[in-house]
Amino acid sequence: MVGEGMKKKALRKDFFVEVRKSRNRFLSILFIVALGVSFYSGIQSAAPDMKRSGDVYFDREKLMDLKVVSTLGLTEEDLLELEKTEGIETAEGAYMTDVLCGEGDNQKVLHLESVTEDFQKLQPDEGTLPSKADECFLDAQAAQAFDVHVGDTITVQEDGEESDSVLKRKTFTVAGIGGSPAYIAFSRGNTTLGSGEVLGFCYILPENFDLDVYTQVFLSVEGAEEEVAFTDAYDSLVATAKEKVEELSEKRCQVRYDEVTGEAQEKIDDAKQELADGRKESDEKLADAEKTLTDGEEELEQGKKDLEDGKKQLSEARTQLDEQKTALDEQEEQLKTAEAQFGGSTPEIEAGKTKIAEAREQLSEGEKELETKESELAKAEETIKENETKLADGRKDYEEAKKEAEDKIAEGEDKIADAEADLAALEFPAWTVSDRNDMTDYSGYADNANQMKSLGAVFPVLFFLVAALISLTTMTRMVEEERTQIGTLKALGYSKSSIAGKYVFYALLATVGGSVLGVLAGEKIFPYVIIDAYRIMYQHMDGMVLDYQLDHALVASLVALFCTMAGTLSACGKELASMPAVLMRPPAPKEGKRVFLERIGFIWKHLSFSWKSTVRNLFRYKKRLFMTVFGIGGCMALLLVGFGLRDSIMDVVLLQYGEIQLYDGMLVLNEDASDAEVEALKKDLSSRSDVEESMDVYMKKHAAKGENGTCEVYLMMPEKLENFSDFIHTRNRITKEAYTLSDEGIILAEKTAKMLGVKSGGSITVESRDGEDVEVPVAEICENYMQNFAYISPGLYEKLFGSVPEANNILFKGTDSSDEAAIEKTGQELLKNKAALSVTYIGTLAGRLNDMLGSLDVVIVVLIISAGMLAFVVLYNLNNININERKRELATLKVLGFFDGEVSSYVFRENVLLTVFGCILGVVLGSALHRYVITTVEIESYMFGRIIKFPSYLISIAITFCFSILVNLLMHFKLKKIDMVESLKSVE
Amino acid sequence: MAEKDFVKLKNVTKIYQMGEVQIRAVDGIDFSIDKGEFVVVVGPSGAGKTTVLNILGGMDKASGGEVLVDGKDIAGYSQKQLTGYRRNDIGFVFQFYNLVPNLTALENVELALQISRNPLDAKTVMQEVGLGDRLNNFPAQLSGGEQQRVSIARALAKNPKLLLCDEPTGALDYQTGKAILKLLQDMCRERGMTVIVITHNSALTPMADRVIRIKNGKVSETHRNEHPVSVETIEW
Repeated sequence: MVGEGMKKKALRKDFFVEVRKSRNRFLSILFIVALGVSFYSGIQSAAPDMKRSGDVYFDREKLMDLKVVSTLGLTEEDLLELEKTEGIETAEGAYMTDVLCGEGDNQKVLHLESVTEDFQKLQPDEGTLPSKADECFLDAQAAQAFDVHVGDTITVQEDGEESDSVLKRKTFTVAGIGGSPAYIAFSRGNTTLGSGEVLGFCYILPENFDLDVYTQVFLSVEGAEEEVAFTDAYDSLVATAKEKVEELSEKRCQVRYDEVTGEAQEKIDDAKQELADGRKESDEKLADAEKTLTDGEEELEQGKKDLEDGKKQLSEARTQLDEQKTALDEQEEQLKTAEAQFGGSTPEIEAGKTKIAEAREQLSEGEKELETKESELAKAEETIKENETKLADGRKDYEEAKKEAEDKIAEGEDKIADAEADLAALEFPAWTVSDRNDMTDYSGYADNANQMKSLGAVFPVLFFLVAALISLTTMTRMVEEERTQIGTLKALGYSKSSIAGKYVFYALLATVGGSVLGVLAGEKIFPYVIIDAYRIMYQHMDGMVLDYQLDHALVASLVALFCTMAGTLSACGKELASMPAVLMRPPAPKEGKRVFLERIGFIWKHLSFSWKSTVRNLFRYKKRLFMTVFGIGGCMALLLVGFGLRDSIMDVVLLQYGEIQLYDGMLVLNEDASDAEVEALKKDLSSRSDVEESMDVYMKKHAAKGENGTCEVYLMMPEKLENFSDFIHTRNRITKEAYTLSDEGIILAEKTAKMLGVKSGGSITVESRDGEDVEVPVAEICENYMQNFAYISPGLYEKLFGSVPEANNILFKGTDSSDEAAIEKTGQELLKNKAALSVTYIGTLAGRLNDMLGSLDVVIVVLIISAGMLAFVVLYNLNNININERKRELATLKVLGFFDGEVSSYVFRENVLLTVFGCILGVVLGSALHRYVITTVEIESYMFGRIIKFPSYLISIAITFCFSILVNLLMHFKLKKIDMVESLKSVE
Repeated sequence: MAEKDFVKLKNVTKIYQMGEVQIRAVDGIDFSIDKGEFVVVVGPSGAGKTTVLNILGGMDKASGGEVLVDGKDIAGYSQKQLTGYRRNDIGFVFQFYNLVPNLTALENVELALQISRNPLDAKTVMQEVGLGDRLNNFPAQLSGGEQQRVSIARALAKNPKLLLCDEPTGALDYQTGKAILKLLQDMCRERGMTVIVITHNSALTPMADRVIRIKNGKVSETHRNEHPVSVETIEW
């Protein structure tokens, strides 16, 4: 027992002395392990860390889990029902509309939303959130484009008629500028307004909206905050809630429909009733008026008659009076005659005279009376005349009133008819329930995280392989150095396992140390660098969560442990199997071997001795050769992948928009536009001087099936085939052979063909618009990098689908394709045509891709640094071993009188050769790895370029050589330090 | 006949500073050697022989004193000058031969020649050392004696002013050792080469023209053999 303890104690002491003595060796294993582990666990952790950081940010800023939008708006009651839905925690309604902002050419679309209390907390970069009705909070992106600052005012314009206005106010003071969790990157969505692109968002207080119903309702899902966004757990939780909301949607839509139709019907009914009432009332009024009028007329008639009668009576009375006068005159005459006869007056005469005088008096009185009457009559006549005029006026008024009433009624009837028609045309409402994944940038964020993950799965393999090789060579060297000691221990009777234990434990300690260091550093540094770099894209996502991911740490450490253990065990296996006596003797010097190159005399003869020695050395230490070539190859491969990735994505922009899709913009036609309107648009297009050419196409997304799978394909049919190649260049990616569209079959995009599993000459099944499966022959496969396109000739379309559809898109080319602003101006002007619904610019698409490229630069930097570290560790380790092993030889050279430079170059020649070999291997390895990475990181509808460009090879090689030279420089100083006395020492 | 004082050491010291302790490995050595002499430097282990050899070979610098070789004081040389000195003036034979294992015997000789100013023909030298038929063998394929012959050939082919041999027979058996010493003696006699052999073996002293005994870092005795004997007659 005591002996056992002593033994262990002695060995343990030896072990720690060994570690201290061979610090470099120990550290080199530790570092390569740390490098491998940190790289693997770091990049693997970047994805979950990105997601966690995103989650923390979204939870803090209260991004909605679900959003409901209805075609008929959402009522207060809908809101309550939504809130009550199983799985929904809170619900809040909000308003939203797209408005125009800015002047003239600088007119851009803003997405105007109401500020919500419980959702989408806004993050001001400067200023504050809006607190008054006339304040707004503006998107930083838009503020920059407009050059607007806090305190400035902006005026927005609504589209459409004044009566449709939803805003109570159009001018706002910018209270704050910043970001919203609903818009994390650059994308702001699309609109039917203006140029079709939304420049940014703008939040205002809800009271500014003049709407009875909410435009949208935000929902938070119960328990979703506890789950990490982007994970399956979160997705499934939200999906369940989403289903529930969709279930509710049917019920609520019916209610809403009934409500809207009911309201409308009620209004119509009311209107009808009102109309009927109005009609009745007006009829009555008219009748009254008519009666009054008729009565008046009758009265007038009577008056007239009375007047006539009066006149007649009067004239009769006058006649009578005249007769009486005449009779009186006759009597007077008779009296005069009688007087004359009698010669004087007689009493009788006198009496007669008196009588006559009396009669005369009576007569004059009668005449007076008559005259009075006559004047009365004249007055009455006048009154009648006046009344007559009045009556005529009344009649006229009446006629007018009657017409007016009739018009009004007709109008009311029309309105009712219109309202009825509208009601009949009212579509059943539909809810669109969207979750976070429907937000382009949100899902883009997850895509980016996942891309990191797949990248992180490939590269560390290199590091682990190198780690295995390094520990193999290092441990081999260590065991070789200590063979005498191993022999001694064996001779003393130590067991194999306790001797091997030292080496195993040595490697174990280095590996565990390296793993711990790697995990500690890697899982903080890599995710930090990556997330920090992505902040260029996600400016307002300031949260950063860098958790230690134990699973990745464990995987990486175990793999590293396996690699170093395998290396160590295979290194000490041979020595341990030998007899002690063999081990005590110095090892037989390694034999110089002739290499095959010596057989090629003319080359060999021209080599200097140093070169000969170099070449022979390379092949003598095969393990080292392999390790170095592999390490440098790995470095080169990493660099190549980094630069290659850049090339590939650049290719998408360069090739897709430079060589394949040659048009500058695409107009989407309004399906409701009349033929005349479409004609007008076409005329506009052909008459414009800034449009070089345009082509009418029919384009529609179809579900397609192939042997390998299904996907959505954009079927594009040009109306005419002649100038098709001016707009879309269909060609073979490798041979560049141009294909022409014919009735033989469709030309299918390469990536699409691959996904469907079809080759030229084969066929795919396409679902027609009527839902029928149609077999479509594939004539050629063409180069294409974005979207799943299939080009079809009108002839073939007619043959397969029965009829040729009308064009729904127009592709156009500007006179100067390079002038993006001019193209955009053209597009905006074209949009003024009623037939044009929206426009997409190629330039904008290219710009978005370039943004993506920006974030990839980070990946490249990470790759270059990792590659550099890999190359450095490998070369440093190799050179260290190499120099240690050949100290004697190098010291001898020094004694022989070799200058420091000559000694260095004697060693470096090997490094240079190995670097060359490594580069060659790296090209092969890198190309393969690049291909793999490209296909892994590729998003479904994209195809990245497959080619690494020549300059990338050059740069990668140059950088690899730089690393190699750097190590050589460091080694030069180590070589200088070699003591010549080494040459006098005895052989170990 | 012989050039006097071809090599001359005057009060040469070498002091190593080990922490606070000064170790005087060489403590004021004086001796001189004529051109073409076969010199044996003899002394027990740790007497300072190797230090003298290192200083004389330009592999180490003396702490004090003068080291005159062919009239030049190498004690004042810079590192670069010393390298040049080793390159052109010194031929070195190691105890463990120190051949480059990856080069053949002939190539090992040629390796030294490519840096020398006026070298001899490699093949001729190889024939002279008796290895005319092993030119294309690698060191591992040669016996110890043969390897030492290659090492001597490598030193000689540089056509140096001084041939320094550090325990040339230390790793060899008795007979082979004798043969190697014979070769060195012959080279000295035939080519007029100045040869300095360092050994702990006092039995070799009779074959030398001059014997220098070193003890405790000082020269304890130096004398000339007027009649040196051939190595074959010596037994030890």
